[in-house]
Amino acid sequence: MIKNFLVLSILIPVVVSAQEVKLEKQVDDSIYSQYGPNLPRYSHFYLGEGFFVQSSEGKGSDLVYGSSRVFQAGYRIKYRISDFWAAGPEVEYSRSTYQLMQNESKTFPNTVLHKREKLLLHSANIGLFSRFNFKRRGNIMGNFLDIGGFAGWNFSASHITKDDSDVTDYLSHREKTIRSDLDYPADYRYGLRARLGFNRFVLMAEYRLSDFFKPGFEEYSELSKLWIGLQLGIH
Amino acid sequence: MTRFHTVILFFSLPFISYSFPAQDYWWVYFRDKDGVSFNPRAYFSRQVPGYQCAPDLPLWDFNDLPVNEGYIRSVAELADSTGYASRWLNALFIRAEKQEVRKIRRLGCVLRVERAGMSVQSVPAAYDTSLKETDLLLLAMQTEMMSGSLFREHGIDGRGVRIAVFDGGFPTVNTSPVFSHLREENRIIETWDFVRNREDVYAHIPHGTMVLSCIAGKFNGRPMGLAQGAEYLLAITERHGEPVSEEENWLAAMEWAHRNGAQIINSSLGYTRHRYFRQDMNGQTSIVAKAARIAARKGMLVVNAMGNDGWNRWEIAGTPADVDSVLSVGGIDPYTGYHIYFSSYGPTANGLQKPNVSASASVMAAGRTGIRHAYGTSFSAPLVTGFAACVLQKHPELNSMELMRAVEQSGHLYPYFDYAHGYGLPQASVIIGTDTAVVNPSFAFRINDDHLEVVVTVQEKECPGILRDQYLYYHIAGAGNRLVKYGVIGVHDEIPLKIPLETLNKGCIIRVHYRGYTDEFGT
Repeated sequence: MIKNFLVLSILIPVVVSAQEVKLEKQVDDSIYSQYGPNLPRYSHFYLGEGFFVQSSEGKGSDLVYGSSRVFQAGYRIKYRISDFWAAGPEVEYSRSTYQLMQNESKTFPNTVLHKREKLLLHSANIGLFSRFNFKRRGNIMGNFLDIGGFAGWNFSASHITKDDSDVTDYLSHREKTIRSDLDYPADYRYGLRARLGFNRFVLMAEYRLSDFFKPGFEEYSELSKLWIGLQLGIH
Repeated sequence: MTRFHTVILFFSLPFISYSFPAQDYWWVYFRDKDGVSFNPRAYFSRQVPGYQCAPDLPLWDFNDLPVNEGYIRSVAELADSTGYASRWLNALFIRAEKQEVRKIRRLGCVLRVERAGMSVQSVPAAYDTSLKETDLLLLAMQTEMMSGSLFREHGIDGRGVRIAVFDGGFPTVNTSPVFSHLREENRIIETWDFVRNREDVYAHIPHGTMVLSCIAGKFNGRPMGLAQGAEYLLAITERHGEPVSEEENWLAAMEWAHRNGAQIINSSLGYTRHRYFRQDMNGQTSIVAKAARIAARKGMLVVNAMGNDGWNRWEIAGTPADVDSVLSVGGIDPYTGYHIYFSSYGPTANGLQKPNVSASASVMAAGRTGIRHAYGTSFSAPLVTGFAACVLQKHPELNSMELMRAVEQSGHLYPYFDYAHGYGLPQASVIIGTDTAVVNPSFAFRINDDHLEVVVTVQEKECPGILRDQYLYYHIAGAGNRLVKYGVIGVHDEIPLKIPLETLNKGCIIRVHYRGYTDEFGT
């Protein structure tokens, strides 16, 4: 049995290496580009990250700039109308983080001060865009200006606070409190977008037209509506 | 501002911005050259006997006549700015808005106006000349793969041949020890920077330095290329950012090279997806393709790199490697002896057989600060440029197309070809005439059941150390000799290739090359 196994283990490599294909090419008859960013239809994923830059309307809901940010991951379909003009839809997930400043004027959601406090909003969005390319180009995305809008559903919101415990000895710890099923964030959102793209790399800005809070929560100052960031087209 | 006003303003932005005139680049082609005067003796370089490149061509033709100055003035009055006026195309490069172009089109002297195409691939302190043993071996291989030492033994080094090199810059060519022989013997005849309109080319992108070293470099007495004895014209046509004007610069450099007596042009440059689609690679669409075709008619051999897109979706040659009369050079891996993975493949969009030949695409090249390992078909092209210069030195009676054919026929695979290797590595032994050994058949075709088999015979004479002789090359050609499939096989037994007959269409030809012998089988 072992002898047979040894014989086989010597034979098999010899049979496999009888010929060695170094290169093999089937010539593609179709020279026309089947795929590419400047063809009639093209789709790709994208990732984006940005920061809120506009102050909240009125005191009470000040944000910590730099920590208040948006992450988005989406899929875009582009339809080429002409060398200059394209348009299409996009679907995405976005996560908005509103880091609330802990100061004496804070009133949202209450006046209690914490070590850290933030609001997390998870949204599913649909967008439409109109794209204007600047120069004649080959089969690349090129430089472009996108103008568009979006509408979305805020499917999850959380209010998160972090505090140091009062205990000072070896039992000291940090307390994290997560409150969900919040009653004040609006269920839906909509707004405008603009993007300036250089092939894969895109500068973008988004302005929320809708209110952050539901009707009945007018005592809260409206949170920042404008964020600016970078997007990376995965293509 | 209300929310409504915000929305209206937001969506108006692109139309507001579009209402500002958008300028673009254009070529304005004129109908004729009526009324121009021309003195060929004053125009062409006095350094070249007869003031032309090839003895059997007329001194000048219609393409050499200048563009009508009155026509240029008429267009200049309407355009925003004007650039190069090309004699060869009888055209003017301009920058203008669309409404200006409409007015220009209505001028009686204008034949047509076309939008200029768009985007290149494209590789010093105390100069570092330290090399490891493996580097020295690679340095030797890059010319020995073409039997380059045979040229040197017969005193052939491109002497008497003038070569123009187009690239993005030539820093340290004026100081590096690798090019000291060129400087000492005054072999750099003319230089011009077409990007900045000045004579100094010894700065900017070092790619040109590396390319020139693969034609004419010498490291501690060791040749890096094959044409240390040739004369050189150096032109900068490229810049970072790859603007539209690069093709205009290439065309201008071609006309300048012709005026200065260039016989061979080396262009390790190519334009692909940033400006064109694959279907545009037909040897006719791009400005550089048009210029390359005119250059060939005027007796200059253009040697161009195939490009490094073999590994991505573009896959095929760029332009002007797509031109039929350009000697397009693919890349070989010196360590395996066959196609290197990134070298672009043929055919062109209109089915032209490309590449024409191949050379090493992994070389030692002299950069800005020292000699380095470099990859790319950018370095295969200059190796073949040096080879072509040696052929022209030995056979000065050849015109550009005869020279191209001579290089092709010296390929180590000739008459076999495929879309990865072309005719293979050019061999000096064929040019010198020492390649006289009789090639015995090394294989035979056999029909066995429903298969076509290639049966190799045992060679009495071994070829140790030459890896590429151990490969069997095959292709299946269909209508119009266009290849359907091709491959390379390492031979380890008697029947390295078996093709089911049912997969072969009627009228197919199967060609096989093994150990210098080529044969074919027709269905």
